[in-house]
Amino acid sequence: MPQPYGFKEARKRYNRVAGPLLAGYVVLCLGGSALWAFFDIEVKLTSAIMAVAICLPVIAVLLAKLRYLEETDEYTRLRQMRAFAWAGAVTVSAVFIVGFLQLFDVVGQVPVFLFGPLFFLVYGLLTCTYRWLGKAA
Amino acid sequence: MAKGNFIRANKRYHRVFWPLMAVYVALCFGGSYVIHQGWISGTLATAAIAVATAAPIVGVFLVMLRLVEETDEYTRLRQLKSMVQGALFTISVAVVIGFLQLFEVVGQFWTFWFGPIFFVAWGLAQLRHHFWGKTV
Repeated sequence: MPQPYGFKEARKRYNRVAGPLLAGYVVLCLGGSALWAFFDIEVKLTSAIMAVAICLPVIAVLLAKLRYLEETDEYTRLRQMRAFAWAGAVTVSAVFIVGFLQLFDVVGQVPVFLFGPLFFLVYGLLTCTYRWLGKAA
Repeated sequence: MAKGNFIRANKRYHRVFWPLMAVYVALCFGGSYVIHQGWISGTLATAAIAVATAAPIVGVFLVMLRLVEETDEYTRLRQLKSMVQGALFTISVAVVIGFLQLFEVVGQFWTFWFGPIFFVAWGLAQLRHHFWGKTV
């Protein structure tokens, strides 16, 4: 269990991890895609390893976010958790709508990848909304 | 808004949750039956049934988020923690499968499955807090 830090210290600790991880993600994304496109990789195992390797920084950022939520002050924790919960609810609602549209043959294949950016977009927008329009937690 | 009362908030939640679930089950079976019998055709009508079937789940989310706001602080934080952990697990799985799709390792994946994955992850997170968690 991470020990609680102050608001600023917790944010510093998060940024110290998130920045390099996201840089790694961008490098892996571009590098992996370039390798995949130029070298015409046909071995499924190699492609799978590359795909999972690209995801690892994103998963690590999410874990760092969880640690940040534990370490920061109560006010920030509650505000961030609300935004996270709403983002999860909106994303899973979208999943259900798209899922039923697929089941009833209204839409075809949907790139699952898009639900990641959707979640982060909603989370970001809600965080901004709380910041500018929200009341105290 | 009734705030901070655990029992009253739970009651208000259950009063809406169960009818919504009943409607969801009825729409799931009814919608599939109507479509497979060919009583309804056309993309728009089918899309309307699909969205209508998903609507109670959206309602359940809204009711859950209302419960989180209305209940006491301890339960609120515990529920939010579980929800956040469930959401993060689901998004992690979605990102992994998404990249596997982009690199053509897996083909079509039923998007629908992320719903149950989220609810199972959420439930497991709640169980973990219930049995092994410390007080907030």
